[in-house]
Amino acid sequence: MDRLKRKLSVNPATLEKKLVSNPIMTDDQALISRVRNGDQQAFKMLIKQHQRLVAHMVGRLIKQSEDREEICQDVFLKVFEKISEFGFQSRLSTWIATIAYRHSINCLRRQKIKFSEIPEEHEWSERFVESDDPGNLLIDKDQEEWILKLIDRLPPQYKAVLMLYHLEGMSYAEIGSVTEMPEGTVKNYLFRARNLLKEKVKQYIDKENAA
Amino acid sequence: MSEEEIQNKIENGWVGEGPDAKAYQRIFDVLKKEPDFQLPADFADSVIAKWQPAQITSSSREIFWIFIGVAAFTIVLGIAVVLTEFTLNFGALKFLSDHSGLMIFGIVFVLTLQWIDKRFVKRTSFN
Repeated sequence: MDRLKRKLSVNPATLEKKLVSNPIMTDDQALISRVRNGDQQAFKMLIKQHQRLVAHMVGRLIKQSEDREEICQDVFLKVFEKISEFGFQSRLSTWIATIAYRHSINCLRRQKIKFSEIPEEHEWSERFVESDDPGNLLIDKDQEEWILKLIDRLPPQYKAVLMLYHLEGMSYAEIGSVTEMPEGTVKNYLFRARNLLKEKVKQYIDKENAA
Repeated sequence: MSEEEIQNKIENGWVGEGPDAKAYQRIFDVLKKEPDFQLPADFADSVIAKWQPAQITSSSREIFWIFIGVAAFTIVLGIAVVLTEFTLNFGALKFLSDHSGLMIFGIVFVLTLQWIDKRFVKRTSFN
């Protein structure tokens, strides 16, 4: 299996998903036709199928927990508004993720949170790795929460790429289509984000071993 | 081994012993976990509740603009007919004015076909 994953050079999570179930494009087509005709049940089905994906995106990018549900609702209203423009150039889930990503970024903009560019790499990385000593995290749950907090402090682009790759099992090309980044940038952000997190966690592990 | 190689190997299930590998393993485990934020079970219903008024507003807006369009067209047509003293007395227009019954039947027939198509044919195709 591992050899197969490497040979095909796709995201292992995507490959597993494809091996287990083959998504049928015609299902999406039928559902979309019904939604376009104002079929409430079909729209409800579409929401249920994709609410997990939208929650992941919004949950990762928006920090204010009280705003998240409303933002998710707005994403689906936008999906309905724009569904006539969907031309099956990608999977429906990729298209919905794109809307969720853009909507979340717009919300960050409204909250005046800088997102447009990744902070000056060297200085920012140093600060990220050096700041915030977690002290003693005795149980796994605390370590997990600490790592999640670290992820939260990453730039939104890094968080989106990490989420789409690790949780949704999207390929580099699909992530590129969602975030409008070239595939090379997606790969690079994924590598850098994981590397930054590793530097921070490694410091903690070193300390733990020394104690 | 380069950082990229370590990341790729761990992604493919390799269990390393060094501090880098251990740190990556912890990070990959956390990244795979479902986030705390989850939508409530009735989320789809709450979107539908928000969606229905928006639908009604958009369809009433459509009807409003159709009405405005038809009214504006009729007014402009009336003004044009009065100003130009237009009468149906040449070529094909003469034929139309001589067979007004046939014209009315044609218009009613096309409108009825449209109504049947919308009411019965299109609705049954998707539901």
